Amino acid sequence: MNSDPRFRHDLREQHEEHTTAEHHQQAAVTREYASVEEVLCDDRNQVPVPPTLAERLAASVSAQGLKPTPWWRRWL
Amino acid sequence: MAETRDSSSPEALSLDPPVGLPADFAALYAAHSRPVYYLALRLLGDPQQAEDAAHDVFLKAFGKIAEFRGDADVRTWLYRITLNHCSNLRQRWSARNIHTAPDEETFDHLAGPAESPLRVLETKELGERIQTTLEALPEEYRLLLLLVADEQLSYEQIGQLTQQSSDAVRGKLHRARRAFATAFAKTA
Repeated sequence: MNSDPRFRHDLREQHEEHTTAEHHQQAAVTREYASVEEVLCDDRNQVPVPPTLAERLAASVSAQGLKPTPWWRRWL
Repeated sequence: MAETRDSSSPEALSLDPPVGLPADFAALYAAHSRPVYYLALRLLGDPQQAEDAAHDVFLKAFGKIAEFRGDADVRTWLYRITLNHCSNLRQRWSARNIHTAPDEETFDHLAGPAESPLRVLETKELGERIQTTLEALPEEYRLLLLLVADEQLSYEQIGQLTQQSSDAVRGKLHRARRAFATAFAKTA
């Protein structure tokens, strides 16, 4: 193994250059969609549901004292 | 308000059932909250308004679950409530603000890149571009595209939700896709 500090420095520089180039390549990656549906599906899958929604809903259900009745119970 | 993006796996479509709701309803929420919230977000264009709308939709669904007919699809039922709710909100807004939506003929005469792939440089900009694109479309096209993007809905169910035949849905979707591709290309 070459222990010359200059050699190691060159290697590190080469590695850094390579990593930077790779990073730029990843950042500029272009995604292609075959259809409008595919774009919208991808968009939907990436949009997070706000966590506060479930909390607000649970609070509203509790505050209103709502009790759901299954549809089939109407016939009993 | 800025729209946030989720970096989680696209396969993770349903959420963990939330705490504090009855078990059956929590399961329903976990399975359908994402599509309901997404539909409201893209129809209203604002994350806070969409959250409010989704909250009201699920609260209404919770109260009306007794009226839900078991022969109807739950997703379709929730979408119907969402569409009615968002439509009411938009009508209230448009009564206060003059807003001119583009008509279908504007897009029907345009030669768009209908068959070419839709390119997006960075995923994080996707949401903004889609929102801009959808807002440039006639309301009916916007709605049809959002519904057809949900693989769980058939053309027949989309027809029921938009009060037209499945053949009409197919015909309009063809024009809606072209209109979307044309408008989307302009947002690049």
